[in-house]
Amino acid sequence: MLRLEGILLRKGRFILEIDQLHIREGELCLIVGPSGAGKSLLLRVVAGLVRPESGSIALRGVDSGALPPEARRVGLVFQHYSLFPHLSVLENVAFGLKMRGTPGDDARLGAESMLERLGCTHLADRRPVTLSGGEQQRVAIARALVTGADLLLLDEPFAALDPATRAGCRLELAELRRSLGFTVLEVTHALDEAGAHADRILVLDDGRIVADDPYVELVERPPNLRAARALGLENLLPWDLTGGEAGPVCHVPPSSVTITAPNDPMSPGDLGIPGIVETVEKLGPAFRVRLLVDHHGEPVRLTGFAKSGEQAPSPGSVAMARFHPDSVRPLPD
Amino acid sequence: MADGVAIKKGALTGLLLLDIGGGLLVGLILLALATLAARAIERPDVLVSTIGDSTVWNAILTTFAAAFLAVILLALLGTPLAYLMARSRNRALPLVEALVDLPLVLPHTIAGLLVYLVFMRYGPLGQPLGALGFSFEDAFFGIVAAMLFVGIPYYVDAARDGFAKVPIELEEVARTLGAGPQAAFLRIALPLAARECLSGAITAWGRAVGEFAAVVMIAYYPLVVSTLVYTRFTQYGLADTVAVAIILLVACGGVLVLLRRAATRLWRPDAPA
Repeated sequence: MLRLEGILLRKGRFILEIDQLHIREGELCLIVGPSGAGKSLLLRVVAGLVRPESGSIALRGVDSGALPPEARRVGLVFQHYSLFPHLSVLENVAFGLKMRGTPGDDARLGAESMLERLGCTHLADRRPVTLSGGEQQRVAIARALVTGADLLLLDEPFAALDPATRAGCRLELAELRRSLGFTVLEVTHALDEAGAHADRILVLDDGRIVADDPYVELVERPPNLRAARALGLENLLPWDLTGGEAGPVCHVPPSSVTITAPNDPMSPGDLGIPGIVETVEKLGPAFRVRLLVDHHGEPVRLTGFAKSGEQAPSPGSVAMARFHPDSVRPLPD
Repeated sequence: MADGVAIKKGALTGLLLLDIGGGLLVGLILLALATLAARAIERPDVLVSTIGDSTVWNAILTTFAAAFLAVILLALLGTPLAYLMARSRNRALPLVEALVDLPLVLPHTIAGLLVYLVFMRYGPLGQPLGALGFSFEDAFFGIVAAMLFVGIPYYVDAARDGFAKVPIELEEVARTLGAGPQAAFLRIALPLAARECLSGAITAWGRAVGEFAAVVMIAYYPLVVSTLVYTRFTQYGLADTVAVAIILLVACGGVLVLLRRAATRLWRPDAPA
């Protein structure tokens, strides 16, 4: 569907440099990373709104680097939806069809059909300013898809919605994707919410892709320290704290760390690190516990889970973090 | 709670002072108009004879026609410039902005001198345009040129502010939906900046109608209203000048009210469909 190779783009001191990126047809691919990492810029490059200095962009197997945005057949949805405020909902959705030469009546029918598909028929005559966030989001997606775009570029499209609406919109988008089969490249900060729905996660840091893995793989076994930090992963610990060499940083997935009382018996081969309980959070059937452990006089945070059925550790008490050495992974820079 | 009341009282006093200040300004304008009207009523015979004076009406028509033509040219030439200024990140932008605003700070006689130098018979634009049949010295197009020059900042600055308020994402989305750069401009940016463009055009038109010094430097004739008022004041006396001023005020005020009404009827982003 989309292949980028050797992309180089300078914007002031910032450099976007994508050696290679291949998005397969029908994939939902998330782009995550810290602010200013170049996530939105990457979308603009794919859409043709910004031309890179070098590199190639192929869409559907065709070299598209020289094509203007109007010829790329990609849909774009921004965080605030960017509906045209001077046009009605129907006119917004029909806009792309008219621009692509569809006669007036056919454009109206096509727009009505797409609005019906997204359950927005009742909004047709309304102005965008009168719509709720969720309604605007659905109209924006209808507008992006109505022209037959098979690659949807979403720039934090759910960020302005409340959590309940956000979850509903995600399910709707997943349903649409199943029925229409389009590919999605989505910039998001909500990796926890969106990660499980995605086929792949691209981690962008300072203009470079530092990881490209499925969600579980990425959060359990980040490929490098840059990606782990860009993702904001917990339990990035000094390696020597877990029995390794001094210097490098290692990662222990919180899901591999069990928090127990200090005197509980240890499983054979497990590592045990004592610490002071800093926070306790009820998470489903378990407790998510954060300890402060001592590393040569410096406090280091270590997160794990206490089993349900046991008494929850209280903040300020001493607890033991236990994990198997196999779950410790030193991270290259 | 007591603090809150005190703050409210303070704010109220401030607003009252502002109101008094604003009221003084409006009062000054009303006082000037009332004085003019009182003077005109003192000599109704002069007012009646002036109403029937074709010279006065010719001057008003010439002024309005020249001002409208200047504003149309400003809109045609200034709108793309305003759009580029709103969207550009070029380092030369501050220089362009300063040039556009230059007519604002120039004494109008100097603006007139510049217009004269450029559009006179042997000027860099006057000569080639003269070859095409356009003359500027003591001619209608000279008045248009002067009005256009002094109106540049009024139109371009307003239109630029209008375009700057249109989020660039709207045009970017339009591009991905199949609109070329021109279509994105004409169908998205321009309609959304239309109110500011029209507001700038009305202000520029008002400025053009009132222009004297820049106009008189290149075209004393045909007479425009400002030149006519000056001529009557220096050659005929106060009563004739007051009569011309009253007619001009009514005519200009009427057109201005009509234009402002048209502007307020334009689309507003917060208005429901």
